[in-house]
Amino acid sequence: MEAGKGPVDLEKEVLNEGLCASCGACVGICPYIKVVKDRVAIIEPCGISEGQCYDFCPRTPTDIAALERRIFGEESPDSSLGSYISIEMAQARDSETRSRAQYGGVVSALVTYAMNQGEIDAAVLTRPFDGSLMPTSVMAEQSSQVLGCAGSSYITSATLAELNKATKQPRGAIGVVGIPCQVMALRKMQASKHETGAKGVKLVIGLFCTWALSYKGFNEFLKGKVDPSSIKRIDIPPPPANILVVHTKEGTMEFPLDEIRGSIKPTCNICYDMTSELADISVGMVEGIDDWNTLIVRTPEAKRLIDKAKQDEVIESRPLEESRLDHLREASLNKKRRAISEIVKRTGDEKNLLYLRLSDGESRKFL
Amino acid sequence: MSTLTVDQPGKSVLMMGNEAIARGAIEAGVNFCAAYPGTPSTEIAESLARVAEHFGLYAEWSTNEIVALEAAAAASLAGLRAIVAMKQNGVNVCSDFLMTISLSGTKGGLVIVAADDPSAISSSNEQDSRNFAKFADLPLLEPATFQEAKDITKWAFELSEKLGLPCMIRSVTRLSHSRGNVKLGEIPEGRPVARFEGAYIAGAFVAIQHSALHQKLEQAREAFEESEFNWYVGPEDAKFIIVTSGSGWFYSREAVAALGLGEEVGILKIGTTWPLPERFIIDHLRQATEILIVEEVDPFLEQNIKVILSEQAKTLGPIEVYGAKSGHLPGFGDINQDKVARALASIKGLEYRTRDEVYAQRASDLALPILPPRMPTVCPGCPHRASLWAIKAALKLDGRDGFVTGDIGCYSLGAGPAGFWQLKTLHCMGAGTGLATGFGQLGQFGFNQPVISVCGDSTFFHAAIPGLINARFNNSNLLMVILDNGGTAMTGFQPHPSSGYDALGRPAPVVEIEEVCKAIGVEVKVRDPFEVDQAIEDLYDMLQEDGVKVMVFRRKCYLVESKEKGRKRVFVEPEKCIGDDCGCARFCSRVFNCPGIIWDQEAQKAKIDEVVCTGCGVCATLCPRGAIVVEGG
Amino acid sequence: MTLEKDPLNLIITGVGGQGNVLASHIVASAGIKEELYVTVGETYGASQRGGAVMSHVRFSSQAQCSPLISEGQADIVVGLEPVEALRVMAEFGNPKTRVIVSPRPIYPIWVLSGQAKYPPIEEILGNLEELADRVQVVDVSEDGEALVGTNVLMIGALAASGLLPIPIESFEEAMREILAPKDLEMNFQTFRKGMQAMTGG
Repeated sequence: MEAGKGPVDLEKEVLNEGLCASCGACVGICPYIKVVKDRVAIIEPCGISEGQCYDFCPRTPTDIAALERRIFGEESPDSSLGSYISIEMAQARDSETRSRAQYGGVVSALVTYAMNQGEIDAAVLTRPFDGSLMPTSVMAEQSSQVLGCAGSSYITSATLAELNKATKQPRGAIGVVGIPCQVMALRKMQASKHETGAKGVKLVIGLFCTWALSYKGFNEFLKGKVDPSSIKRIDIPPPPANILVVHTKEGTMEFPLDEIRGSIKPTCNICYDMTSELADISVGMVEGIDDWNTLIVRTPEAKRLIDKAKQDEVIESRPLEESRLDHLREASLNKKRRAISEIVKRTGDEKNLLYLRLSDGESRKFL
Repeated sequence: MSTLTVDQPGKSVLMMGNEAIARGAIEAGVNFCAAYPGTPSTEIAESLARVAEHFGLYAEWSTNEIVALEAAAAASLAGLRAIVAMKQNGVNVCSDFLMTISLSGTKGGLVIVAADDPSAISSSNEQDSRNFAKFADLPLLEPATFQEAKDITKWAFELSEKLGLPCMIRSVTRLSHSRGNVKLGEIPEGRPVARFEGAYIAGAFVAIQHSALHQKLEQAREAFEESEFNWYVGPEDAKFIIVTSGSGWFYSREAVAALGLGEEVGILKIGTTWPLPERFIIDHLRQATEILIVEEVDPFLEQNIKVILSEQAKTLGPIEVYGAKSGHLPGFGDINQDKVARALASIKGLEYRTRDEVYAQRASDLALPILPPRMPTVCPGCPHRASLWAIKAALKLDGRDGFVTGDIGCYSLGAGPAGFWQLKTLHCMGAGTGLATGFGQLGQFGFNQPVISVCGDSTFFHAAIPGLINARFNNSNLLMVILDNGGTAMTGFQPHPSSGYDALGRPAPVVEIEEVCKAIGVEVKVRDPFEVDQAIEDLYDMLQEDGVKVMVFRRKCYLVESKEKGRKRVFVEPEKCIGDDCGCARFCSRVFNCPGIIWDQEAQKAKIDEVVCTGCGVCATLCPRGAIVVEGG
Repeated sequence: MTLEKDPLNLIITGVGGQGNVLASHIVASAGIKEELYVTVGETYGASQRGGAVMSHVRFSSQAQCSPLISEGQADIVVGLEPVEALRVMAEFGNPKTRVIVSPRPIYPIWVLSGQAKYPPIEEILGNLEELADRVQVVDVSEDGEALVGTNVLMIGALAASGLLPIPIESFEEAMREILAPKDLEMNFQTFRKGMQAMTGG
């Protein structure tokens, strides 16, 4: 963490550079920073030189090793997938959950379960296809709200702003489901000296993420092709399909991925994390198997919850084949390589990796 | 009780200049009054509307000045006496009709009052409307005192009727908005029957009409030669004469007295300034070798008198003329007795001092270093503060260096700190949207900044609709934000077509702003600017769309709202206020800057100034810690 | 009536929204009842709210005066707001000027935003004392209530000061003519409070 920086620096280093991940960590703390759709702006500098906004941002300098020590008690021994206790395949037992979920329904099932078990009192979730292409962030207080948040629109919403609201209105133990940048920001919030709603977070479920789309770009791309309010689901089938599939009430449309790549948020190109390495639990797809998830359990607390969920027949699991695990590692490493190379392209200096504070040894692996 | 209805001839009452003008109209038996509000003219029509039922006259707030003049002219053509009042900018708006009604002529007395605003105390310019009288070949009268404001107005109706020509009266802020003694005259009884006869066609045989108009002006000049509104005071054989009109009379008299020059300087005061009473002027300048011309804003009198002096050079001999051209008086801005006295002193080689210099220096030393500047701002509770904050936020979120084209109204203050410096252009009624339609066409030249025009509800009806239609017709890119606070707030909340009541306070049909916009075929949204986050999001969304969009920010002027509905108590819970800390940094008092919120230096907390606060409660929705509470929600 | 000083120049100053115009209207209407020429010049319009507002009220037994008072020629300054009183003294004061002032600040927006400082009230009053013949402070803050009618309060104090050749009855009559009947009683109370503050009664 870099001390002594505030909104002016945040604007210069992150917002003006197009590196904002619109995670929402800086939104809702104060009246100066606003988000609309996935655009974050500082309406007027507040005049404070050292601020939470800069502290929390996942794109300001981040000592990842320090965060890992804080969460896992050790630095990650694995350069590709981070610290973990187990990696397996899993799916929700409940078929309705599976059918509404993007893949195996593990996230929805686990959040619902954790709420019903009283492990958490509320959950910060993202609801896709809420009448618009733009997903909405919600602080769910009933487990019945969870399933409505299944699925992905490939656009990020400022989810962590919900946690900042919780600073004013504590909600007890909170669970958060987020993508890697959001998980990183959340961990920075928890590690900061400031009073924040993130301190109440007891369960962090991270999603795998390769990239996300900008609302404006994707919305313009779909304009005249698809009515955003009719979208039910968006899929990106595994390679070599190289397409994006939009399921609407009227039917299904396919678009070549290459036409959509221009809408990928620039910040995703410098993202170093595919599997939410700082989460308690990470969940993603299993390539080629639609209704199963890859499940990475990273902390002992999470392991306890997963074991209980299995016992109570909420989810079931199978071992992940070695070839699939290798494939996952390779995909994650590829993302890191691309990120580092993109960062160095921006800075022109192998020593300056923008927000990433890695050891020399760690960074050299990807240069 | 209004002094306008007092029926005690000879009684001396205190009247504002504008009330005196209205009283003059009543003493002339005026039947019809139409106006669009504008400082410093508003109280003329407002006073007449207040007594309209009492006297059985008709009064309306018109949508703009040209409509007002046309409506009033109709009454004149039907044989009634009619008055129309406007601020100086309004004369421009009605000038198209003015230039032709002078040709066609009129029947019943038609008086046009132009109230000018020297120094533009509440205007966007300080134009001198007297030029319009000359431009349109109309007789022009300039009252100098409160008494004259009444008497000249009364006489103007008679003159207009005699000439078959509208008469123009020029007032200025210092007369219109000041109060002084007025001795009342008689109020006539009876009401004429309106009937239209004949034809009034400008454009048929224009040259002949124009020539006839010049003859009417000659008749006016003849009448002016004998006018009681022109007089001379001072020594019979004064070599030095001040020639003045309007507000210059008071200042000239006091300047002469202050310098003790009463024995050698005369004052020639002209109340009929176009066409000038030449014989009267020549008669009084026969002895003069030097004259100083004292008037507000343009050297109108100065130039026209110079023409007379040059034509009469043989009779009058050489006369040195001092005034704007010589640099003794400014020719811009307002004037006062000190400016006139300094001019006079400098010509006479005297010293003019208003007080002891040592004291003056001491006063400056004790005051100026510690006096905080007092910038005008929009009122506590004003919806525009929230609207302009939402606009600022939406433009910042949009990130393409968008900007706001401004218009005339309370929100004009948005060009300054009251509106977070958002307005980047400011000209005349309707100009914001007119400019925006042009900016919105510049895409083919690489222009990619979004443009927001702001416009008040009253301004919308007055002048912005043609701009909006133009934008739609020519497919421009702009977002028009109509700041609808329910009335013509800047001038004292006069009604307009969507207010639901008329000038007399009677119920009136409502012309819905959004329905007008929809009929034009543009996308329109109506939002409450006090729901600030929603307002920001909707503005942002509209900025992302091409074409013409209209956002109506609707919330009633809170000064009016709190008077009607009572005022809620708003207070700060100090234990929740985080003051200067990260997460707030005194947003409410320092940035949002409502004068109702103060900063308690000792406690280091925000505090509501309950004397100033109107209880609107928008600050409670903006406080990041929920520390501001509105009693009873 | 003849005046000891003719014209007698009064400036009522305050901040937009404080009701300066009403105050000057009451004083002038009271003056006209004494068969004086009274002229009131006002500044309002764009400075309707939050800006400095000043009314010049001039009494003469001889002639109608101009609506503006010359530099240094104020005989009496009534300040509805302390820094505004000082601002007026800087331009219109002289060693004989009498000042009646409310000590209750209304903060300018640049003070609220931190771009300017509001001087300590003691400093303002001290500087006024130094510039004026006499300064009378009308402080009713111990009443504890937020006072809305500063304008009428200060007119009450002015009426009781004896600085104007106008009897109290004329002020009251003027108020009856100008104010809405429903507000009259409340305003009379405030007016009397101002009188008491001046006489110490």
